[in-house]
Order: sequence, then C-alpha cells, then structure tokens
Amino acid sequence: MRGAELTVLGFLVLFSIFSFLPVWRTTEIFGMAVFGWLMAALMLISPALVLWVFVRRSP
Amino acid sequence: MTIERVLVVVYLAGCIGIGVFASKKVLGSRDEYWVAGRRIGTVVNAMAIMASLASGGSIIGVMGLAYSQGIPATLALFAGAVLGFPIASLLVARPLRNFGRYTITDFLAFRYPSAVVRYLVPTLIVIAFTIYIVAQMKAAGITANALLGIPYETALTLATVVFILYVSIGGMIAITWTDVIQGLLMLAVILGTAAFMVWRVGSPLELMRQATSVAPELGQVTHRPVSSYLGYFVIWATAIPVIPHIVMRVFTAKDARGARLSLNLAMLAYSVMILAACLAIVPVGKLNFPGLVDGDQVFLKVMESEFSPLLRGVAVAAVLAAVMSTTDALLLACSSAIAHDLLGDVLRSRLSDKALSAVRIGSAWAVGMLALYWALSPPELISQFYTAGVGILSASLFVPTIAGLWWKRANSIGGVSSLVVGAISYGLVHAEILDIGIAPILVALPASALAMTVGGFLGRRESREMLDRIQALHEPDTAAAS
Repeated sequence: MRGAELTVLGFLVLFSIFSFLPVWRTTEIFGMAVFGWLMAALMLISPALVLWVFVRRSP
Repeated sequence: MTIERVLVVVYLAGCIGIGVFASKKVLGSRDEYWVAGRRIGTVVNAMAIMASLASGGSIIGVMGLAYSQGIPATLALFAGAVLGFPIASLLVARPLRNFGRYTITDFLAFRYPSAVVRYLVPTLIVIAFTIYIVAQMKAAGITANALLGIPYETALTLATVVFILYVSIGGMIAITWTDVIQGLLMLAVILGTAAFMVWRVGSPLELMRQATSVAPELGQVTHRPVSSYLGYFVIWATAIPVIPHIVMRVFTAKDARGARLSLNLAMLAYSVMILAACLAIVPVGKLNFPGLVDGDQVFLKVMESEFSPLLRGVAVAAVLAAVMSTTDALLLACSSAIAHDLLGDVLRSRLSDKALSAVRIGSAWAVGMLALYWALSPPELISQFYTAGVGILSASLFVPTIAGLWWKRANSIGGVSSLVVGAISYGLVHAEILDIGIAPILVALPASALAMTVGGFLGRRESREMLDRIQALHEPDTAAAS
C-alpha cells in the first residue's frame, strides 16, 4: 500500500474515533447531535478522499 | 391499484426475461455462472455493487431505524459501511482480484489449508445470509401489502419465486444486469423523493429543524448505549471488505484497477442515497406520521400520502428492486457456498457439467425456500436483524482475511483460531451467555485478532512458497496465485 493511501486510511480512522468522542453526543446543531452530522460528513468525505487519491494516481 | 400493479408486473417480468436470456450463456460454465466471465466494466460493476449493498434495508430499514432510534444511530450504522469501502478498496480489492478464484472461502482455504476453514466458512455464510434474506423478504412483503393491497404472504411468495428463478438460471450475469436497472431505479426514487421534500420546505436544514422541534428524539443519541452505535459502525466497516456478495463483485471485475474504482464509485452513490433518505424523507415522515408502531412503515406512509398512483407504483418497484438486488446477490453467495465451497470438490470429479448446473440451481431454491418459510413470521426492525447476521461474518472473517493478505506471520493455526474464536465469541455475547454489556462485535474482533496473533507467533511459519504467492497478489494485475 502506498503512502497516500495509508494516510487517507489513517485519516478516516482518526476521523471516526474523533466522531465518537462523548462531547458530540450532547451538543446539537439544527436539532441533531453533532455526532450525527459528523457521521454524515464521514459518509461524504470518505468516498471523496479515496476517489481523489485514486484518480490522482491513475495514469 | 391497477397502475401500480401493472408497473410491478412489468418490472418482475423484465427480471425473469433477463434471467432467461442470461441462462443461455451461463449454464455450462462455472466462470460465467459465478463471476460473469470476469469481464464486467467499472461503471456497471459500481452500480451493481451499490445495488447489492443498498438493500430493502437501505430503503425501508434505514428509514425505519432512523424513525425509531434517531438519525445519528442510523448514520453510525451506515457510515460504518461507507468506511468499509475504502478499507476494501485499499486492503483487499487488488490482491483478491489478482487471486482470481470465485469466493472468499477459496482464498481462506488457500491461505489456511484446513478442513475447518473449508467447511466452517461456507456454513457461516449460509446461516448469516439466510438471516439477511429473511429481512429483505419482509421489506418486499410489507411494501406490496401497504401500497398494492396484496396480502403479505402472497407478495412474499411472488417476489421470492421471481428472484430465485432469475438467480438460479441466470447466475452472475443476470444478477449484474438486474442490479444495474434496480440500482438506477432506487437512486431515482430516493433522490427524487428527497429533492421534492426539500424543495417544498426550502432547505434540508430547515426540514431537520422543523422535525426535531416536534420530535427532538429524532436528532438525539439517547436511544441505546453508546457501545451499540459503535457496534453497528464497526460491524459494517469490517463486513464490507469480507462480505461474500461484495467480494464476488471484486472477482467479476476486468482487473484489479477496475475492482478498486468500482468500489469507490459504489461507495459514493450509496452515501448520497442514504443521506438523502435520512435527512430529507425521515423528517417528513416524523412530522406527518408521529405515532407509527412499526418504524419500517414510514417510507411507505410518506409515499402513500404524498404521491399519485403512478409514482406509488414506481416506489413499490424501487423497494422491490432494493430487496431483489441484494437478495439475488445473497442467494448467489449462498448457492456458491453450498455448490462450490461445500460440495464442489466432491461433486466436480463425479458429476457432468449439466448435473453441476442442476446442483447450483437446486441450492439456490433450497436456501430461498427456507428463507421464505422463516419470513412468513418476520422479525421487527429489519436493519438491526440483518446487521446481527452480518456481524458473525465480520467477527469471523475480517481478521483472517486481512492478516492473510498483509501479515507474514499469519499461518494456518492463527487463521483457524481467529476464525473459530471470532465466531464463537460473537455468538456467546450476542446470545447473552457471556453478558458483559458491550456490543458483541467489540468483543469478537479483538478476540479474533488475539487468537491470530498468538497462533502466528506460536505456530510454524508459512513456507517461502506461500509467502511469495501472497506477495505476488499485491503486484498490479498479476495472474492468479493458485
């Protein structure tokens, strides 16, 4: 596995751990816990990042 | 009801037609039947992967879970699946595609040669996927019952017979093309409905604000212990790289690059669809139908109240598409677990190609009929139900697969131990025989990893030849290793 891929995977795992911090369960934005928004963000960031790395590396 | 029923009949007839057409190509060839000749293009494969994962659970179940247990819990479950795709794309897609066989069992039995692996893995797949299929069937039954007025049992039997028919005779080619059509239909219905809901209110944030002011629990994280949310997340993050109906798609790709790209594209489409369902359709359902006893009914209620008969017919077809696109892949994975993994070695030397085809078809019908019988008394909250089934596959297959590809110390003792320990510990905690108050997967995965580590360090190292073969799998587009 190349460096960029490992970095992306590491970032996504760290982002996931960050999302599960207790503070995000009680803080709310637009009626939903920040935890929920972070999960939604992960669902968009994750495919976008991996695609970006993949396309950048493709010939 | 006439327009809706005509649309659904046309859709079902189309699926059978594709199955009959594909059967002319696949029935004499293992390669064509199980992996569509390994020549599926990237975009088609991406849509098929998305459709395979986006099950009845992703339309009926995702909204039912969000309605009953809040949007954050639901997004935790599905964000896990989305994280699973980069794990699959980065860690397993290339080596498994280069391995060039048919099933995840083929790889594990090659890496850890043992009768336990050869027979336990397909047995676990059949058990877990039968649970998964039952959940999908419930989605089909309640949809047809609610929107078409057909009795639950009749709808269930009709949908089941149709998808078993086209899977059993058309194999992977039929599944791929029906999945592409079904995926497009699902995306159109969910995104179209969500866009309409948002357009009426002005913005998704306003929609969320309105819904949570009436029903604050929709946005809260209070329905279950935190370990449950984490459990959902981890199950799906670790399931995607090893779950057989997704892995089979890796084997159908033209090459390793196509396999990885199709996983990435599928992940993007899947994310957008789930977010649209949770953030736009569920809030409307909560506002308009606050007291539903069965949360799985929320999407159907919204469709029934907001749209014309024609669009309701399209919605029924979309839900059936979601159910069938996943169930057909699950059924093929079960069929391959029985006819290829469990019986293949014994039967191949004794039976003709024609007889082997009959075994493939028979195993698909056997699993389908068993699931149909179970689905006549369906469970509640289908997303939770099938996630529990998938959990046992994550618990038992994730560590041996990843370690088998990436850890040189991984050996047969470690592989067999991690497989068995993962499955048993998950079962014990899930059945509350071992009651330690956290999600079963959070116990089973570390236990499986520990068993692999101990086996790896205490057992004999694998031969140089095996390690070279594994190393070769990581090279760009190498030939099969076995």
